[in-house]
Amino acid sequence: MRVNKLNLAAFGPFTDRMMEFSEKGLHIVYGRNEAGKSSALRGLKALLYGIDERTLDNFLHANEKLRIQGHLQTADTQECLFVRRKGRKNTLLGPDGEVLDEQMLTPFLQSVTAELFETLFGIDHQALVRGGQEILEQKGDVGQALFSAALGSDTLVVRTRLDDEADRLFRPRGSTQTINSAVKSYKEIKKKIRECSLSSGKWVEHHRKLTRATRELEETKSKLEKKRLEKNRLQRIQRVLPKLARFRELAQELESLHDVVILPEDFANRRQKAVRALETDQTIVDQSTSRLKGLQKRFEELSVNQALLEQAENIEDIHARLSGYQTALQDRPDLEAQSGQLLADAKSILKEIRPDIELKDIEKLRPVLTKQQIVSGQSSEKTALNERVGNAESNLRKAKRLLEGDRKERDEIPESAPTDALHRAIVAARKRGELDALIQNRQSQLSSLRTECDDSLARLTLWDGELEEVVGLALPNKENIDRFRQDYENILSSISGLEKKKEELTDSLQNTSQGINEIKGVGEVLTEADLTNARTERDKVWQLLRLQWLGGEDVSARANDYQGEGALPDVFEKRLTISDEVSDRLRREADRVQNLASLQANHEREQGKLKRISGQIGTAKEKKAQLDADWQTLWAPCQIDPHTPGEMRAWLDDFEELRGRVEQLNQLRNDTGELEQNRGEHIRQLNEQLTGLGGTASTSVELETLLLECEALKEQLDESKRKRDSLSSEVKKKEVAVGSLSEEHQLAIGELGTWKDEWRQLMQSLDLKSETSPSEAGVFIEKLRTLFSKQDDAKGLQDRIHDIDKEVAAFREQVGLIVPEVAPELGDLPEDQAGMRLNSLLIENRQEQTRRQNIEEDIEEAKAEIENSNVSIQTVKKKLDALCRKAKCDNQDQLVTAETRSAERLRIQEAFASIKRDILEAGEGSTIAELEAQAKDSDPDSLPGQIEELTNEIDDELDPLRIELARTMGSEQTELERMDGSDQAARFADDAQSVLANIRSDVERYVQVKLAGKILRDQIERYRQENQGPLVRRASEYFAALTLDSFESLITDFNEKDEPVLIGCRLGGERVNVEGMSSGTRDQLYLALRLASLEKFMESAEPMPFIVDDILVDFDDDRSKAALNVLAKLAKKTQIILFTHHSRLVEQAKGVDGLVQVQEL
Amino acid sequence: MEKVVIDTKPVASVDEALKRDDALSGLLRAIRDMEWDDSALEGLAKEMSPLRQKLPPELLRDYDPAKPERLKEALEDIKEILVNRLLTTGEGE
Repeated sequence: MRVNKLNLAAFGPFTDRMMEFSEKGLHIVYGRNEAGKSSALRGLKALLYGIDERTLDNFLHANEKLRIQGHLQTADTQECLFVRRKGRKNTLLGPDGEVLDEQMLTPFLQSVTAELFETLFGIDHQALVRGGQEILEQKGDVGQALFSAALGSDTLVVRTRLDDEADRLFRPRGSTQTINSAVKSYKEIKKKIRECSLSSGKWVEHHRKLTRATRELEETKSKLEKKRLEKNRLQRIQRVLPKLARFRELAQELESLHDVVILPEDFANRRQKAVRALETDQTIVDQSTSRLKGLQKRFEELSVNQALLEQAENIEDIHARLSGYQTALQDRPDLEAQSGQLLADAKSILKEIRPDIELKDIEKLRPVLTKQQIVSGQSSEKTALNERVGNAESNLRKAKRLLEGDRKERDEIPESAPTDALHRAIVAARKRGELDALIQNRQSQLSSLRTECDDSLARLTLWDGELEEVVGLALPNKENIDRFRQDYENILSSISGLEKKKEELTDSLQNTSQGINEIKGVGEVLTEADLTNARTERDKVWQLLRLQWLGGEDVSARANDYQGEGALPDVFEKRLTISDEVSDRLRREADRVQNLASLQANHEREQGKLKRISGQIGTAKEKKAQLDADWQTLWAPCQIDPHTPGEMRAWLDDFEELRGRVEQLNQLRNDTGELEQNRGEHIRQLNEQLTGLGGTASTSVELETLLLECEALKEQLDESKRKRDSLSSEVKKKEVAVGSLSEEHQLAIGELGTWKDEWRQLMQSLDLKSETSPSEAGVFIEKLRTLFSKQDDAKGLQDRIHDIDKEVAAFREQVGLIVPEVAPELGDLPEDQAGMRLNSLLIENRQEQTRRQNIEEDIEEAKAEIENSNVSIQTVKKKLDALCRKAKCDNQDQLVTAETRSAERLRIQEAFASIKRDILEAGEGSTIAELEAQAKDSDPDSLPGQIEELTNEIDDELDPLRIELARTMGSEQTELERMDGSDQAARFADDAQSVLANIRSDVERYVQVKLAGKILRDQIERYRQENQGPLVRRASEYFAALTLDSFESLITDFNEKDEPVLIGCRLGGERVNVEGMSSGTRDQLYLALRLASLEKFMESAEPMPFIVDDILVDFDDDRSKAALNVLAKLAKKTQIILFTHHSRLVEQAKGVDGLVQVQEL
Repeated sequence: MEKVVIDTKPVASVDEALKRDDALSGLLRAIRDMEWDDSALEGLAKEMSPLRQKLPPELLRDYDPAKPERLKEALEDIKEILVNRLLTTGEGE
């Protein structure tokens, strides 16, 4: 089927977008991103199988408006033009809008479902990469790869998922799988059900034991309680007896202290604190009074010079200037000496450089100093110019020397002939590759293949022809053989089924006959017919008798038949008896009669069936005979006596394989011849070039040897030419360099002359001779700078001496003013000593003043302390009086005794309360009066004996008995609970049914997935056995073309587990397994297998369009072009539509062999 | 109600594909032929042998996975499972 036209009338982004695919050849639909390539692809599928209910291609046109129009055509030119609309039914419309039957598309789609179309006739980049990856994951497994490629599906994933699901459900030795786990649960529930069903007798026995144990336990507990109460009572009395005696003693002591005043807890502390405070305050008053007197005396002894203190600021200023005053007086003579020396030096320098000028007039020379920079610059410039001239002369000489050397070397090398023609001949020969190795390899392959073909031919049975006849031998095709095989299977299956049925019927017939005979063997079996006969006979006689009796007719003539049986009434009675007997027997033997009737009916039916089946067998055998004849006729043209179709199909595969090899052999032979002819031509051309260049022609038949000789000669000639060219180039470069260096030399000499003129003018401006050298001019300026420096220094020293004189006068004036006023006794001392002394007096007076201030503060403090302490003494005395009143004492000396008696009373009160608490605690709720009453009746000496006796009875008898009885009760109750399984058993049974139902459900699923996995594996292997040879051979051709002969072929081999795997063979015979291939190459391998499978499909069915969606994005340019060539070639057999986003493919398609149609969206 | 047994059949059969000669139709033909092939059914029953040994007798009385009629029932489901999975493996991955 072909899609001739696709009109996206209203679909996705398209409106009335027509695409033509009617021309034969590869169709490329190109669209940039967002041009609608994917929508167009969906539109094509929707045309054939309907628009998806949840389509997203309704963004421009509403759902009810979506329309796709198409024109389909089958190989036998059947055509169909229709429109597809979106909807749940009646989606197929005619060109005029009339509803068409969906079955109309059956001849075009041939039961290929939408899913199958997607997987088998569609391939996108994702599917290609997944296919390549799958080949890697299955390690090149041949069956798996062929089956996957045939379906366009990942069968390894399907197999793995089925196996995984089965493993999750059940494993023979597993425990956690769903079914294993459920079976285990089921067994456990069954065990519980068994345990629940115990006999009732045992239950009664256990119940009786439980009742008795319960009663005895209650009695024992009651007895135990009484004994424990008595024991507690005696123990209580034993505990409280000594405490009661102590209680009474303390009560008497408390009574004797009833008049003692109870003082607060802190009374003694407060009293002691008040006494200590009184003593402390009195001590402070005494000490402070004494200190006050001493301080007042010291204060009166201290005196201060107030006038001196008032001039403190001036005195400090004098002291601060004192050091400067002394230094200045000391430095002045040195400064005068230095100044004189500097002026003398200046005069000496001036006399040396310019004796014509006085020192006072030297300022007019100061502008000369500004020219120092210019003189220095001119000096450096002269040095650089001299160096430049020298370098230029040296470089020029060196360049001339090198130029001469290169000229001489160049002239020594002869000029060589051109090698271009030789180069072309070598390249042409090399371009053909390693022809020698290739020819040798081909010859080796040829020999090997020839041997294989001979062996295969020798092994081939049924046909005696020669290898040369193999290619041309016309044999029946596989479809015919398969049809015969199917027909044979059908007819044989039919005959076998019929024979089996016939046997079954024969056996059944025998059984029926045996049953009939057995019933009849027991005795005659009466039938309804016998009863009817008897009754007919009876009625006949009755009619005669009736006519004679009631009608008076003479019936003797008609009664002659019964003459021998007596008179007519007797005959009638006899007939009546017979019919009654028959009737009775029929009723009695009804079962026998019915069985016989049933058996006889079955017998007749089975005989009929047997007859029909025999007829059918005969017909089937006739058909088989006809089939045998047709089978023989089919093979007659090739003079082969055929075996069964199954065997002949295998024989045909072998023959086809042989034919393929023979074709390969022929091809190889032709290729080898062409290669040898090619090599001879190259050898001739190379020899021709070799002799033309002065070499000797080679006699070797190997191209490689000659090539090496030619390459060596060419290399030699090229090297010589290269060297001469290089030297010529060097000579030219050096000639140019010599010219440049000469120019540089002349330029440097000119610039040196210019400098000399400028220097002469500069010297004139400095009043120096024009012959003065730059160094002499520099010395002159430097000395002039020193002269000015010394003169400036001398002036600075004179200014300093003047400042010293001013400072000394000011200091003396200040001292002269202060001394008479504050310390006239210092008037005779020099100014600097008077200044120092004034400062000492100031320090001493300040210290005295500070001491007086401190003593004044101490006096005030002592007075305050005395006053505070007197106030505190009065307060403490009042507190002590209050304490006396509280303790009912007359004075504070009685307070200690009152404190002691109060403490004694408190101690006895505490002890009394404590013993009372102890008694009440030990009395466990009884009052003291009750306890005294109980103790009164008890004998303290007999109490321990009574308590021990009760303890023994409780611990040794009653308590163990209680524990034993409780244990007995517990075990009996447990036993009864365990036995009480009546309704529990029913619950367990429900659970068991539930688990069983789950197991069944899981088992059904396990059966499905487990067997699906097995069937799939078996079918993959069967598919491999039936199709491996032709499919791998065809895929091999595609693979070589897609990889640009990087791989020469694809073969099958066995891995270490003896499993057949795919292997790629390189040109030199290197074998590469799929793990060794790059991912891109694996993708190409998958594509080769898909294309081979597609061709196989076409052999037995109407071709369908192959839709390719941008699979070449990862292919490099060369392989992408190769893939386009392959697709274009295949497009001659079936329609191929390639959708792409990449303009590169459109460009590459222009160079493809064969017709390519490009449509842009 | 003690249990519900679901026994469904597809609306559209895949038997149409039997007319072609490709990998899928070969698989479908093989499944169809197994129903009448005692030796094939025996092979399938043998696969179920380890499971059968573990199952409680109470279940086997009601449902024996190795019995031919049970295996024939399962073949229809197996066919649907295989067709569905083989034609949809590329989706959603």
